[in-house]
Parts: sequence; structure tokens; C-alpha cells
Amino acid sequence: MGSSPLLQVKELSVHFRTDRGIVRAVERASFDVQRGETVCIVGESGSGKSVTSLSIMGLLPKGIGEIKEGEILLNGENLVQKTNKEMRRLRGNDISMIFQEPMTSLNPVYTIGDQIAESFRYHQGIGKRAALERAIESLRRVGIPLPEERAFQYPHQLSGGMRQRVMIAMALTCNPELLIADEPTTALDVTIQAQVLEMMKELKEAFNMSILFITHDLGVVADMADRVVVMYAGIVVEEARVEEIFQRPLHPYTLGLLEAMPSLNSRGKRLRTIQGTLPNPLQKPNGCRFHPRCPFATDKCRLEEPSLENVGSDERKVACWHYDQLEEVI
Amino acid sequence: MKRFFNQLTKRKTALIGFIFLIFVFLIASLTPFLAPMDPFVQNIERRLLPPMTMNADGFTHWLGTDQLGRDVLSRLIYGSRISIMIAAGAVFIGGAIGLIVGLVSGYSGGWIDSVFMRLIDMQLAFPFLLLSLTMVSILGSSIMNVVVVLSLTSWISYAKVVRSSVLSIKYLEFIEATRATGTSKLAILFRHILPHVLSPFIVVASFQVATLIIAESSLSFLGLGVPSSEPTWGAMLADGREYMTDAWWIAIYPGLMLMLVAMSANLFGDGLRDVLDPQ
Repeated sequence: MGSSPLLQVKELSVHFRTDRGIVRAVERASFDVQRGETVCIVGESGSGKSVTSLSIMGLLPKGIGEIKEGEILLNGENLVQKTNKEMRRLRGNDISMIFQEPMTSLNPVYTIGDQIAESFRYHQGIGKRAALERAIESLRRVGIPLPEERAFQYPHQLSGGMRQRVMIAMALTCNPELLIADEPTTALDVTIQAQVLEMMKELKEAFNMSILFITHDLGVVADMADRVVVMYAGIVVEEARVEEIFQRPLHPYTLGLLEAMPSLNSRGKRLRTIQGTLPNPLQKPNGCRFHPRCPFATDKCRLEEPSLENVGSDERKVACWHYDQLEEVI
Repeated sequence: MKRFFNQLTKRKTALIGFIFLIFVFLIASLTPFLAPMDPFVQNIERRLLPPMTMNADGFTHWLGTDQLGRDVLSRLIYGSRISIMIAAGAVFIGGAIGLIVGLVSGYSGGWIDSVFMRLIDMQLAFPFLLLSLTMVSILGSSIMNVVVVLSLTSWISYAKVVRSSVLSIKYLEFIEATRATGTSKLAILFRHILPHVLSPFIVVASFQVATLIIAESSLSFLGLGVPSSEPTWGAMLADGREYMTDAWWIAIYPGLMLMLVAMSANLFGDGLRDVLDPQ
């Protein structure tokens, strides 16, 4: 990889204040994203993956969510210490985000051309007409047919896949270095999903940007990722290159996720599931977070929490006491 | 816009209300041409003439004359001007205050929200009339002061409605998405949230027209509204009250107009709500 990474998340802890106590949504999470790389964060709902992305954007709900510890470095600059105003300039310019629900992520009262143009005008200070032309151009780039007509339509006149393309066009207005995609294809059906993913890959090459892709769909991971970060109950449990995650998972949770995925070979058989549910975020178990659901758990797992350690190379990390046993099982 | 009118015209009661309001508005704007007589001219000889009486000049008092011999129809027409002017002024000023307070309070939350909401609670604890009476007696009675007083008592209705719709919108994903593109707070508030709160705002405004016309009359009825030289429906009602048994027409006609205007505004408001807020 060589030079310094584009994004470094170091020991990030995010707490949420609720009526029933403090929820430690993310704890000591560390990972980085290199230039031109796609990193996928994988995990169940509630594993802290969306909170991590919101922290990077500086969009945690004010007064409720708070970055307790850690640093988020973009090009070496710590985003945690930036003021609201500085973050606002950063958002859209250097980092952009696309959201899960294309159906509700566009303002229903403006035409899509208007909405994209607004971003151009805001960040580049260009005139109304020029901005609209740029908007049409960017609609063409994300593969929307007849962009000159579509630009004057309202969000309800577009299909889900089209809207997600619009969202992407909007996110890319200022050639961001980092695109955060929070489950962008979850709400789309499979064929459209494949098209949108394909387009994102092309755009990534064209813009030479990095993508932080948040998903729970391992199929999407296999398709998109260079590297994978697996999160469970607010902590990073495994990190590896994408091939290794699929061939040789080291954390029992990752293994569980892989076994729960239908494949052509498992046809006709019942799918394995991971027993149990995510722990209550207010009362996380002692020791390893995963031990109540882990088939390999021992007394050590119940008492001591494993930290994320390098295994072999720098790119391979796991937080498990018994990862070597797991290797034998597979 | 076209679809909006199509839908509105399908609701007959709303259409009737709308037409009547337009009618009153036209009367109010064309008073000098419409009023058959000078509403200020007194003539003791012709006092308390019943409706449809012809006077010595061959002029018919269609709605009779009052205790000072002034033509009731002319006064009624002039009175519409003041009623409409005050209601419109108060809706405009009160609406502007309420809209801004509601937007800011709903969007920023925190202590700003708390301060405004407690202020509203405090004001709601006072009966409307008591509050207006106090303010008019401090400020003195003039048309402008009545507008100010009514604005200051009515802004809370808008503020509450606007605030609650802002609250329901500000957590929606498209607002989050605009924040993610680095849009500033003001731009989000006025470009992205404002259009969504306008429908409930307009509905409240239409109901307020009715409330304010009645409120203005109440103040005039109590002699604390517009100066007594000006003919207003409320003041006419107050004057006529003493003569109710001998000359019913002095009080009945302004009362009837008040009722009809308030009802039309409410019917129109109902229709607007159905059209703008389809649920």
C-alpha cells in the first residue's frame, strides 16, 4: 500500500445517551481506507457500522450521540476536532455519503435537476444555468437515460434504481475523495442492485476515489470489496483482504455469517444460522462480546476480552482467543 | 396549481365559502363605489327607520337606519373594509412571527425551543380577551394597534403547528441527505423544510381569518377596538344591542355578516385542509 492512507479511524468510541443508560455503540474501532480502495464494513443491524459512518461524516445526532475517544484522520487531519463549519465544507467536497433508502432520500418538492444543481452551486459557486447543465451532465454519467428530460422530473416519477443513481450523482458532484455508501443497494431488487454496483465500480475508477461500503450482504462484499472489516456489537472483530475472508475466516462470527449465506453448493440443505441474537447494547456481556453465541467459547472467552491482533501480515487482524482452532475446523 | 383548484371546486362547501370570501373582499375593496350613502351622515329625523323604507328624498334605506339616522347598509359595507383589513393584517404579521418562531424552534430544538414553548404556554394561560384588553388599554385604540394586538395573540397557533410539522420532517432521510452534501442550516431550513410546512400553515391561516374577524368585533363591541367613529361590525352590534326590541335591524345585519364570513372562512379552511393534506 505504501503511502499514508486516505482515511484512518483510530480507537474510535461512540456513546449514545438514552433514557435507560449509555449505549456504547462503537468501541475502540480502528481501521483505515487507502486511496482508490473499497473497504466494506460488514455486520448485523446494531453492530455499529452505520454509527461509524455517521461519525466520519460528523452527522451524529447532536446531544445524543458523542465521539468519546479516538481520532478520525482524513488526509492526516483529525475530523473529530473540526468545527461544524469546517465539517460542512468538508461534506460534499471531500467526503460524500449515499443512503439506504433512495425512496426517501430525495426532497419530494424539488426536481432532481434542481437538487443536484443545488450542490454544484453551493460548493462551486456557479450560476443557476451552469449548475443545471452540470447536473444534467452528472445524470448522464450515472447512466440515466434522457437526462435532459429526467432533470425536470420530480423524485416520485423515478424508480428506486433511478433514484439511487440520482443520489450517487448528487454525492459525486464535487469529486469527493471518499464516498461512504450506507447499504445503498439494500432497498433495490437484485438486477438493479447489480447495475448500481457495477456503475459504482466504474465511477470509482473514473474519479479515483475510495469507497467505504457499509452492508450486511456478503454477496455485495464479494463483488465490491478490496478489504473487509467485520463488526460485532460495536467492536471490530476481524479485518482481512476480501479473498481471505471468504476462504479462511478467522473469527467464529465471520464464519457464522458465511455459513448463513446461501450458495449454489448448499442447494436443498437448510441454511445454518448464528444462534441467539445481538446482546442488549446496554448490558454487553463480559469477556468476548460474541461468547454467548459462539460454538468455540471457553472460560477464557467468558472472562477476558480479546483485542484486535495482527495475524501474520499487517492486513490480517482478528479479535479472538481461539482463531487457530477455527483454522483447523475449516 | 390547476389540480389544486380542480380538487377544491369538487368540495362544494369549500367552494361556497371561497366565493363568499371573495365576494366580501370585493365589497371591502370597492366600498366608495358600492355604498349608497355616506355612512357618517347623521339625520335625527330619519332615525330607526325599518328596512326598505323610502325617505323624503326618494332614497330607499334597504336595511333601515340606526339610532342616529345613518344608513345601515352603507355602514355595513364600510365596516367590511375594516374587518377585512384588520384580519388580513393580523394574519400577515402574526403568521410571519409564528412561521419563523415555529421553524427555528422546531429545527434547532434545545433551549431555544424550550424558551419559545414556555412562552407559548404562558400566553395560553391567559384568556385571549383579557390579554387583548390589557394590551389595547396600554397601547390605545387605533386600527394599527388592533392589528398589532391581534397578531401578538394569534402567532402561537401558527408557531405550534409549524413547529410540530418541522419536527416530523427534520428527521426524514432527505434532510439527512442534504446535510450530507454540506448544505448550511439556513438553506436546509428555508429551502428544504419550509415548503413542507406551508400546507398546514395555510390551513391554520384560513381558520385564523374567521377567529380574527370575530376577535376584532369582540374588541369593538367592548369599545376597545377601532375608534368609535369608524363603522365596524362589532361596534354596530354593540350600538344595536340597546335597540334590539324596537329596531332589530341595527344589530341583526352586522351579526349576520360576521357569522357568514366566519363560517365561509371555516368552510374554506376545511376544504383546504382536505386538499392540501390528503390522508
